[in-house]
Amino acid sequence: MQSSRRQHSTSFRIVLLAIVIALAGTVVAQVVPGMRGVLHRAALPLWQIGSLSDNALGSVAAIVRSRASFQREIETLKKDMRVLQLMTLELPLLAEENRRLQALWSRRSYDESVLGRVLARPSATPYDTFVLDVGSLSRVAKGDLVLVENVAIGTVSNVFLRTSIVQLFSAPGVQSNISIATSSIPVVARGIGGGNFIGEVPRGINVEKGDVVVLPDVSSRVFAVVAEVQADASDPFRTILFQLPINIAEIDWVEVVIEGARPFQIEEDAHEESS
Amino acid sequence: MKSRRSILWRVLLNGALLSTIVWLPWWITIIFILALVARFRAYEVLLWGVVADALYAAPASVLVGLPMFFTLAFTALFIVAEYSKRFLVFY
Repeated sequence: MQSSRRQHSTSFRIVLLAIVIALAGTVVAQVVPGMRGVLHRAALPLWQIGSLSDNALGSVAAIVRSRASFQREIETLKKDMRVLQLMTLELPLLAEENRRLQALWSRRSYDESVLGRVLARPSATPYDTFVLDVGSLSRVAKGDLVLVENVAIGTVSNVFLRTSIVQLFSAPGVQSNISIATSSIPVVARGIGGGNFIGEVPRGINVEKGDVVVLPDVSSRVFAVVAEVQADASDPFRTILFQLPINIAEIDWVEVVIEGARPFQIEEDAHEESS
Repeated sequence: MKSRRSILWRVLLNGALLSTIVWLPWWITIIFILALVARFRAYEVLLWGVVADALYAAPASVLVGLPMFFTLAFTALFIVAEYSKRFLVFY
């Protein structure tokens, strides 16, 4: 009886100690300024080694592939390229028209951008975040928009000296104001993880699968495409599922849009902020 | 001799755990955590949770703005493992 009570007391002490360690560690890592930066600085060489080995493994895999599979892939890519060439014919015209219209209305959208390599992506973490190899030394700041081609995928949420964390728009619970390109109707898209979103539009609005969704701005950025429209006869709203047009697991490089001409900052951001 | 081997295993498992946090999907990390807490009274997993959250979490996550998925998951696994050991004959 006494032995059981002693055992129970020991277990209670272990649990209490575990909770104290976890809480103390969290407070130190999340609240003490500079602590996350120190951990990021320590992890950076490991992430870089990971990126290098990914490249090396990719090269080895390419060498050992059969000739037939290469030929099949070349044929597929040639077909895709022909389709894309046709689709891109009107792009210079549209860009020129866009530039003229913006000039006419005295609006400008000439943002500077920085190229960043993705060091860690959602498969490594349940958070929908990217770790980039650019930080305050490259003039990246909290809130900067992150693009892949012209697709907006998220914003910078934490900046360290040589790294930064990007929170994807598709992170669970993140809400973004978007509009559906065909109708210009404003919609609130809620992230549900893995590059997917959910939103609602009134029943009368015509939305089709494949419609492009944009981030409303002076220069509209592609946000997602409509993947599915769910309608219920008794519901005045229709539920829309959006999807990023790119696979987030395959993104290696991103563009961080540096809004405005910020001066080169080192000392201010040397001790990174944590939230 | 036995304790030296045990320490070696613990160090190796911790090294492997760090590698999984940095390079591999999070569910593989959980497997290594399970191995550690099953074999040892591994308080260090709690700190690995804190480190993983510090590396990857963004502020919009849950729990009063403190993103702590890994910390909570690792603490829960540790506590469950320690309680389970009381009822298992080979511990």
